Amino acid sequence: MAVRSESWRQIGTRVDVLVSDSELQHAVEAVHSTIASADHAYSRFRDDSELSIVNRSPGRRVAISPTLTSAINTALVAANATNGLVDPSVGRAVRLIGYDRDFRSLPADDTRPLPMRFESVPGWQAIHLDTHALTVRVANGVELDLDSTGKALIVDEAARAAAAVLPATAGVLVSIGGDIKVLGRPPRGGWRIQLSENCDAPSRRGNPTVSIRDGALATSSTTVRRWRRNGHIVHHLIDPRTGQSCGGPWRTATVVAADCVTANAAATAAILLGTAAPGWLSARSLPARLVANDGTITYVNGWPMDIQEPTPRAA
Amino acid sequence: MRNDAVERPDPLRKRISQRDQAIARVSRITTATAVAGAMATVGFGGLAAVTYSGDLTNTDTTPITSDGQSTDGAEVTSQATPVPTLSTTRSGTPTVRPPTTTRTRSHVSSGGS
Repeated sequence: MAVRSESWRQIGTRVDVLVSDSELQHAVEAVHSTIASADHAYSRFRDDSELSIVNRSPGRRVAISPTLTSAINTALVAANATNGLVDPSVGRAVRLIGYDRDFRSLPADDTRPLPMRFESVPGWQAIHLDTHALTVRVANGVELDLDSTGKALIVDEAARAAAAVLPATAGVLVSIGGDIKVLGRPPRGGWRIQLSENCDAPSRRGNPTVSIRDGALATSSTTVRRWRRNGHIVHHLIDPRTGQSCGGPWRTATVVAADCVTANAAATAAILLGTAAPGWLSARSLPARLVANDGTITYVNGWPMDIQEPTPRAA
Repeated sequence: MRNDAVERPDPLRKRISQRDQAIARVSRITTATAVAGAMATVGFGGLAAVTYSGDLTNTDTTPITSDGQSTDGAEVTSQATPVPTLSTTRSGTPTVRPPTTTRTRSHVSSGGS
């Protein structure tokens, strides 16, 4: 069964669309269009996005589109399900550590001073979404950041949009920044995914690789989107409890789930949970692979051990 | 608003009011269905049926105009508080098949981004 693929960059990250046993073009167009629509609704880096308008209107109810309503709704569900570990109200904290523009535009060594005082984020309860009237109001001091669950939601919706234009016998994989959703009939042996610290890593034989036939897979990592801020290493993964880049024992977490939003939120929550992550994931029947800061790997809930490649013999 | 119909119980006005309310209800149901459809993909294995206590009477919104700017809305005095609740317990989480390992060259990579 032939697999066709196309890759490009959009919303500041890599997009991959793979189709088994079908033409590719219609699926690519469906994915591209889904991403563009979401970008207009909830990009944090576009002044004209609906999200930016909401963030500029604290304390007021703002009429929003169904697309943004769905994205905020999703973020609130994830926040509730993770007990606030994945929280869309981190926008101000993310901005204060310096992540206030597209990451590729950030200076590698930002010499601006860090805020004098960090504090926990306001919390998702400060976001008042009315899914019937399609309005949202955020409290004063709250800025929304939907990067995490928003991207995963795009993956789920883009995969569904692509599958809708493919014949029933085909299958599709959509990956946006390494967050992956598959639908339809997989290729022989399933969809093969290399596990990396960085989703832009080239495919190399011998790297840990897994296969999935359905569902979704997502990875969160503190090893990317890192930069130096006034002498301190910071990264994009904010702990809502402190308002700072999180620490903890894990540097990378990969989770499989039925949908990408769940996989993404669980992977992020796992890093923030620290040593409690394996138990938390097991309780939710989510298979996961956790990479500790020293490189040791913990496998959770049936995730298979990496294949150890034999060491080449010395001549 | 429809306060006139309350103050002067004209049967015709009452019927018009009832018709308008019915149309509004259908509109809300349609919107809610669209949002619920999007939510069907979400939620820790599909267990996130979300309940919101939407205040449908509050209309003091700040609309986004065609030029992408918000208009100056009135200060909100009442609000719709979202109360997302999980409708099932953890045991309701659908089983997800763990991945399998393979030595075959990968199609894509997953990692931080």
